[in-house]
Amino acid sequence: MKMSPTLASGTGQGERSLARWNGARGVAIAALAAALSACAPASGVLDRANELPFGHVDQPVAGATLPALSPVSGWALDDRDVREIRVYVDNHFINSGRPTQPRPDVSRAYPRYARPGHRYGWTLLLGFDAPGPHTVLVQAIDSSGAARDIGVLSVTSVDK
Amino acid sequence: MLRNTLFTVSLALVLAGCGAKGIDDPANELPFGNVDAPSPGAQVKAEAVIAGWAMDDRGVTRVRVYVDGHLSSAGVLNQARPDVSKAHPQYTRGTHTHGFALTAGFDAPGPHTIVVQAVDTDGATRDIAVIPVTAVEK
Repeated sequence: MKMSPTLASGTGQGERSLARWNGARGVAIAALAAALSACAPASGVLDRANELPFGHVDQPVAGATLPALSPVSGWALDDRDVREIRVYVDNHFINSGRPTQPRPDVSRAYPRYARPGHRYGWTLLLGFDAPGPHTVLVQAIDSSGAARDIGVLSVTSVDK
Repeated sequence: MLRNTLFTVSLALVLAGCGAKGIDDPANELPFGNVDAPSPGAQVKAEAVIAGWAMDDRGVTRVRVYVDGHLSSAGVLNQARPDVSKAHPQYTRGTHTHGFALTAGFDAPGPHTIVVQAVDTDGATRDIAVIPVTAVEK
């Protein structure tokens, strides 16, 4: 069937408009998908093949007496990767960071989880807003968003 | 113009709803709770019921059960626990639905570790129990 020039021209404009709309819609969908994946690693958390991270708090030790600002340090491992270490005091978020310190001793103890560079160690600062007893909780978060408490310590802060 | 506006609003809602800032909110409290069954050291069958309760200052959205570090099941609070409301009145949030009953599956007899976590509305997660058990049958 032969199209009339008018109809053909009109169809071409329509296709170009449609292409522009599809392009804009594609960008919008991609942006929404990126935003969703950035904020909700839910699928990773629900991945049954994924292992929870694990680790240890080396310092302070349970029962320690600490100044108002103290370092907390330790190590964390995961079958995929440890994305973040989070520190809570009395159930409230205080600080977070990444494991950056080489810990070849941890690699030797857990060779199945060892990675090049051995960067499983972390040190973060811990602040207490009042003297007295406090509970410090440290969590490791893996690359899928799965979290695990790797240390819960009762300590006493002695000065402001 | 309308499409741009709709997209901008959608993106803003998605970003606002994702709670990325919430998890770092120092005002938010970690959830807390307890597992009533099984008790540490218990002998369990290949599939065991994990029952307990969880609370939070903003609300518990999810309870997750892990066996030996791997996710076994997940669910929501759906059991009435007025006893828990009575014990922690400042966290009731107008409901007695603080209890959960989920299952944990064990793929082999022998010792296993169950970790139960509560997740709050901001995504803050806490281990509410770590329970060593022994599975006695496949």
